Amino acid sequence: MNLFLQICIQGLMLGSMYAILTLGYNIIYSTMGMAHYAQGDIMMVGAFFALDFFVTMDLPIYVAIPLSVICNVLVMLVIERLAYRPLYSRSRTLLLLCTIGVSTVLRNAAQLIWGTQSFNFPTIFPGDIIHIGEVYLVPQNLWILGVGVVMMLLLNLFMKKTKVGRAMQAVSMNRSAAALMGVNMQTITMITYGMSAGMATLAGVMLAPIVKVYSTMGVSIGAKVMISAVVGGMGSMPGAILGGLLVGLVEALGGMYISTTFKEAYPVVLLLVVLLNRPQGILGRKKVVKV
Amino acid sequence: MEHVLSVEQVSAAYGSIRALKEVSLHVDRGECVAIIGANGAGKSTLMKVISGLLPASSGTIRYEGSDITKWPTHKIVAAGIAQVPEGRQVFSELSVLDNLKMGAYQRKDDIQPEIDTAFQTFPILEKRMHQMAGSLSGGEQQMLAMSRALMSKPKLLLLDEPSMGLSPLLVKTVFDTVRRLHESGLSIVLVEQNARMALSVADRLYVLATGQIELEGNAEELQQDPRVRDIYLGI
Repeated sequence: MNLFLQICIQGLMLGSMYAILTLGYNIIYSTMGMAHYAQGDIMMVGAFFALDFFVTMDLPIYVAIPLSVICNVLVMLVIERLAYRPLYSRSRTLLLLCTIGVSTVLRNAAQLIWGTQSFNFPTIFPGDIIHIGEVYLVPQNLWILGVGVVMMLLLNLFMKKTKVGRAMQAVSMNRSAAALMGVNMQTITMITYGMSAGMATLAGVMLAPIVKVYSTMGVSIGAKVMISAVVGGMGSMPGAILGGLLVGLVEALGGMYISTTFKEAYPVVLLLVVLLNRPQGILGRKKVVKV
Repeated sequence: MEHVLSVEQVSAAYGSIRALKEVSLHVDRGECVAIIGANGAGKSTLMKVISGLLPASSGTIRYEGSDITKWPTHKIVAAGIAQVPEGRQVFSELSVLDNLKMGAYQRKDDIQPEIDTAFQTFPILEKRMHQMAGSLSGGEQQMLAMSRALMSKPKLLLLDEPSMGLSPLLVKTVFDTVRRLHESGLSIVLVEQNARMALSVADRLYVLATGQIELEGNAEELQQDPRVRDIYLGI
């Protein structure tokens, strides 16, 4: 039982970061109507920025994290300007193919710049293991879970209470009507990508001490992000959180009780189960098209 | 009199389908101009082109002297043109109040007076202010769409088929509102299939058919025109 609790917390910790990544993926999906395949690789680039600032340059963490976020947001905005923007008026399939291309380019660029080996990332939240009865808790896990929860609350507040958040929701519901309200689509597009990249960077920094930093780290995490999005319901914000947490839990529990060899496969099993029973995702809504 | 809006030889196309062919029309200050025509005549396309949602393939659109043909939609809205789009297009998962706030997206000043006006005009919206707009009936959504457009304090209001899908009683409510706005001095372009209602409020009328202006004139004169009577009024 104690072990089970420990594994659940481990799973929720991982899951909260998947949830943050998936929220970033979903705001792009709902505002821009496109699946951003390169989300995991954007996270990877953010983790490398953090590695440079925190480890190589030895900057304090509270400087290194904001700097990494800023750099990664700029990278994302350049990609948006050069690769995605010319394709908005074309078919969505082209845009999807383009994001796959961007994903490959980012991975290879990272190998050119930072090399192909994996780098250790020291823990940002040191501290002794906490005993509560027979349960052992790693402070880092609790911190990461806390950061995840705070980010989810902040995002929710932003979407519900600010003018820009409301505009992003309006754009996702009805693009042309939002334009008729005077929403500047270019600004909203850039804010969407910027927020998404910023959230991915934070998740990357949090995950870096656990999974290490390497050029292909975005591949398996990116796949889990897309699984979380589909499991929770594409474009749904509560769905992204639920999907992320479930994927984290399934991965941790499966790894403990079945075998770590198939760690990557458990989320896929979850995906299959959900798709067979609820194709629109657990919290997703069926699209009703009025004629 | 000075033209608020003038559309000069404007054409527009969806791919290879030409939806508008060198359409010219104008709206004077404080005037209510109706555009009537059958389904597919290009009425909504014209509205989209004026608001910048669809690019004009040729021609010029002038608003208060400036050439707005190539302006993005948000700049056109900022200049004072608001549109109530066809099919209402409310933000279904935002509350009624948030829909109204979206209408005032570009404003920096206090929007409470306009919210109060909207609630006075349509008291039902105040009752439903915290409900999702998607849960409203068609008529309520139309009232919301009109109130939302007015939140930007426009100088020119484009109304695209406000009577579509509404019961006769609600159609009357909507047109009473249009008449009141017209009397308050707002310039209005009203697109309608319901020619009889359109003629009852408009000063002037354009008849659009297959992307071209077929007839234009004073509303009273056109009411007597045999072609309008036959085809659009069915008398």
